[in-house]
Amino acid sequence: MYTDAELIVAIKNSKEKDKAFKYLLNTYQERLYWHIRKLVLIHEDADDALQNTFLKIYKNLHTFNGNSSLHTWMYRIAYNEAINLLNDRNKKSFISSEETNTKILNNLEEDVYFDGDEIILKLHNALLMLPEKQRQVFNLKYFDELKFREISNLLGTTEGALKASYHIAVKKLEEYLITN
Amino acid sequence: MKESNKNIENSKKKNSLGYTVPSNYFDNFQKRLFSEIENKKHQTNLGFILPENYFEKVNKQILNNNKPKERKVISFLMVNKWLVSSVAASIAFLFLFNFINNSEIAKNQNLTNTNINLEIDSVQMQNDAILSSILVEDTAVNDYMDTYLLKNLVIKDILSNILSFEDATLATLFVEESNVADYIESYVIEDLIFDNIQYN
Repeated sequence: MYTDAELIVAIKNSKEKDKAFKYLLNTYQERLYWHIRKLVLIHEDADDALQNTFLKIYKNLHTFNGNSSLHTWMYRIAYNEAINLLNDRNKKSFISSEETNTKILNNLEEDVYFDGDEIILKLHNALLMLPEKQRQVFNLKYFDELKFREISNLLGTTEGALKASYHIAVKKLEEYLITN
Repeated sequence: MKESNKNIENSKKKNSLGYTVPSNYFDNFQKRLFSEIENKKHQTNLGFILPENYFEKVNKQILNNNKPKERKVISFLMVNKWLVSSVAASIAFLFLFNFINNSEIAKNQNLTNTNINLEIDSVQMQNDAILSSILVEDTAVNDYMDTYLLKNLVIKDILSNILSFEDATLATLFVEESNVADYIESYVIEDLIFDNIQYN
């Protein structure tokens, strides 16, 4: 059992690094997986991004300077991995973001690790319509039930800006779900 | 005081009912419980499901991927054996290669010398027309004569309007041998030699 501060010290010690990493993995892998999965939707993609995330965490642990919390630092790596994965797909297939969303939804319907009904699919469709930042804030507030203060620490954005983003996101979702 | 009472209570329960739990059971239980709640929440709200034991599997996979590769420890004796056999094999190979190479060079040297000699001979032959004429085979002379005679004698006669083409051709068949011999002496050998030189 490590506190964040102890973990950082252990990570920088070459003898304890592996043990500390194992602890880190056990503690955070599920949280990071769900963060990623909500962004990429497909399990296979989430799995790829999660493994890349921990690979980067392991390689860069010694550079972690403690300016932010460890969770924030790892969350940002996971977020970047998920977004890079989506962007790479767009670049490779030369399609617009709208077409990408349609493709993601089609893939989600066919994903064996998805058993949502029509209403849940509609919700995913509505979420995909949101700009990246608003979707991220909505996920963290609505599904992960984090407080604005925690989200602010995680994203490095002011609480006021986050509240505004969340409010706009909820309005857009409402509107989409009512009209569709 | 309270803590010691709790311990006594636990040991009483353990002794009276004989139940024990694995170490860190409650820590793991709490983690498992939250994990299940988390999974159910994502399944109900977003329709996401996970492969069986996914987190256990991915955990092992990540740890394996990040594990530094073990270096093989090779003993000095082992290195020595490899070194000695490698050096021996290299020397043997070099020796064999050298031997083959030398014999190849010798062979090539002989061949080159022969080629040079032949080339010199042929150049000399070309320059020496009389020497070439001696080496012309009889059959070649006969063939040449036949065609030459037909060509030259017949055309000559036709051009001088003495005979028609058919007659001239027939006439050649009856040319006396002595005439042919004279003709050969004066023209054919000379032409034959020069043609031969040109062809070479």
